[in-house]
Amino acid sequence: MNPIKTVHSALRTRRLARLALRFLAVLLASALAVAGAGWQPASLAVIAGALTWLLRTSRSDLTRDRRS
Amino acid sequence: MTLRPAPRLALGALAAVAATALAIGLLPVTIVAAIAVALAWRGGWQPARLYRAAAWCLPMVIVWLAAAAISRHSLSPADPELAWQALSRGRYLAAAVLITPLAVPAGLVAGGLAWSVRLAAMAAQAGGRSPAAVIRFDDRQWRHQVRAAKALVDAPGAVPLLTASGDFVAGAVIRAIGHPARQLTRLPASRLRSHQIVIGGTGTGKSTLLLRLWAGYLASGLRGQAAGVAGAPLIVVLDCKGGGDARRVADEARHVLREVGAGNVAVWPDDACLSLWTLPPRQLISTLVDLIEHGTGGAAYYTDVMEAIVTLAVEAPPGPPASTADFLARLDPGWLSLAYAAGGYDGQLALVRSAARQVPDVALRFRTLFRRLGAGLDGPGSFADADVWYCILEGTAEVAVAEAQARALVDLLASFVTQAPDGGRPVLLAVDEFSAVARRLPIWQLYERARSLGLSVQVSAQSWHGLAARQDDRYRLAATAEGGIWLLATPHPDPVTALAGQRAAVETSRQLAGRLRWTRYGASRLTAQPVADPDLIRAFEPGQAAYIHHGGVTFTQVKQLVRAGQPDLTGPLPGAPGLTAPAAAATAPAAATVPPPVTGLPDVTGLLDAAFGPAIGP
Repeated sequence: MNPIKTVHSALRTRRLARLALRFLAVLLASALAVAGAGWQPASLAVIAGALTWLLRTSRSDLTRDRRS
Repeated sequence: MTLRPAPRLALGALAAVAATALAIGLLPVTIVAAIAVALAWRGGWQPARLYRAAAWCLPMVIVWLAAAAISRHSLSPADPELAWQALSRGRYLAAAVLITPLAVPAGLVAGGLAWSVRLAAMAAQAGGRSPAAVIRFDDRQWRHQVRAAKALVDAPGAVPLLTASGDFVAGAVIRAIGHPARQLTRLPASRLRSHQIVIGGTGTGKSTLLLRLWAGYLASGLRGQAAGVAGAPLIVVLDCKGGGDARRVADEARHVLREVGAGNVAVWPDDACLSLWTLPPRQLISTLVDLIEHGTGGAAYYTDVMEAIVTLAVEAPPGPPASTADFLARLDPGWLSLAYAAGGYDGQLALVRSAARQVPDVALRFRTLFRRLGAGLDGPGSFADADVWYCILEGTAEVAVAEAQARALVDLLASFVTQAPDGGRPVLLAVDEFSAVARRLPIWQLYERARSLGLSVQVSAQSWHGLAARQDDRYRLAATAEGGIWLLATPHPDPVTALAGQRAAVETSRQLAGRLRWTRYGASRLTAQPVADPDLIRAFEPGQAAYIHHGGVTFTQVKQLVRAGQPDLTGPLPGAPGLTAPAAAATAPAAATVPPPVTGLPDVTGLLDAAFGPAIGP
């Protein structure tokens, strides 16, 4: 198998997995917030905070492979 | 006023009770602060990171306030009260959610304050149960910081070569003193275009760092070229050790730099040539004479004779020689007489006649020299033929030959730069172990020359003493390294760390109360401590480096460039004039080897950079 493809496939898979995990964490936090407190300002704030965290931390998964 | 021990104790107890009551009263904030301090301790973070995290809670707080204002027509949310009510009813999840928008940012700020107090106390040697606690704390923090930096370096995509704003990224910051406390070791691109020094022994990660620096220079230059602000960058590496190790690094450099965007990477003299005979005649004469080692004293006479004969051969009416064979053929009294036989050259003819007996001796010396030099300088080829030239000089095996080669290559590069139109291309001359061949071209002279030509010079050596033969020259080099000094593990870092200077620090003594018991009483005073601790550098692991610049130091875990794999050389190959067949094969278009971009995810780098600033690690 082409080693270039192998490396990129691994990288892509790992990044996708990380991104998926982040999405799941945000979904879980949002669901817990709404389930726990209902549609209160605080639960909306928790959702906003989780989305901010997602954007802030998942950029390395969303950027093209800038040669590192 | 000094309080006596009993009132002092009472006051202390009162303060402790008040603090405990406050912590219990604001339990959610206390919990978040405790978690924040624990994370900062484990990750070796600075308090600023907790403050930044608190600042990033701002969107959450804004949404909270806005939602409260809309739903209750009031700017004072009732959630904290609701949270206490929920807690009293045993609805813990609801209580946690309701208090989160307030507790998280406040807790992060409180945690940052607590952590900064702890760090300040330990830095002043006033914390811990004993004076030795400070040492253990610092050792532990160093290990935590190294672990966090390694994790960041290992995370895919977390350490780019260049940031969106064009800064070069060397790796992850372990610890910074006198420099901004960031996660990534970032240098403005202008720093790469200044003189730099790299010091590190074998096995310390020096080659990894050099490759990254070269790749950063190339990538930055290519970005400048794409923006139309500069020409295509050129990197010339003089590896003055030679041998198998140099060829291994050359191979690595070839692959890595092509992946960064270099079109052609030429390895001299193994698979690419340069032509000494493209030098302007006056420069060619000077270079040819300097290639031959001369004695001193009475030998100066022979030097003059040689220069006269070389001048006759180079400036003969047919024009400058085009090759080694052409030049050697001219070192013959008969050829010279014939060349100057046409009218108007009486002076030269007289000179040929008077030097006729020395011409064969001069020819013999040049014949021997060119036989030892090999075909690497006989062309065809020029520095314009490639983006990167990796020149291997056998400075370990054949010092005299390597010295001559170094002299010729530097002269060729100087000529190339001065002849380029409109300032030409930005050029980096990277010299590894130049002291091995610097006997006849002192490194200081090279530095001065490069400065006058507008070249960036990067000098690397195994140790401080390997930089130059004389102490004065070493300090002159170090003092003019505007781009900074990279220091890897070395047993004698003190001369270099001294260049970072000293900083004011608080030193606290403790009163010894008995066997291994210290009281809290003592005295503090201001002392000067080195900015760059030489003991940390002595204990560096491979891949760790200290970047010293402008009175500060950044301890860095260098990110190794990812090599995607072996190149695919099956496509059509370009034929550059200076490259022989293997070189042409090795300099296939970068596009042929650059792996396809990740297609599964959209590239939103620009948007993210605009919204959140330059990239940081996960």
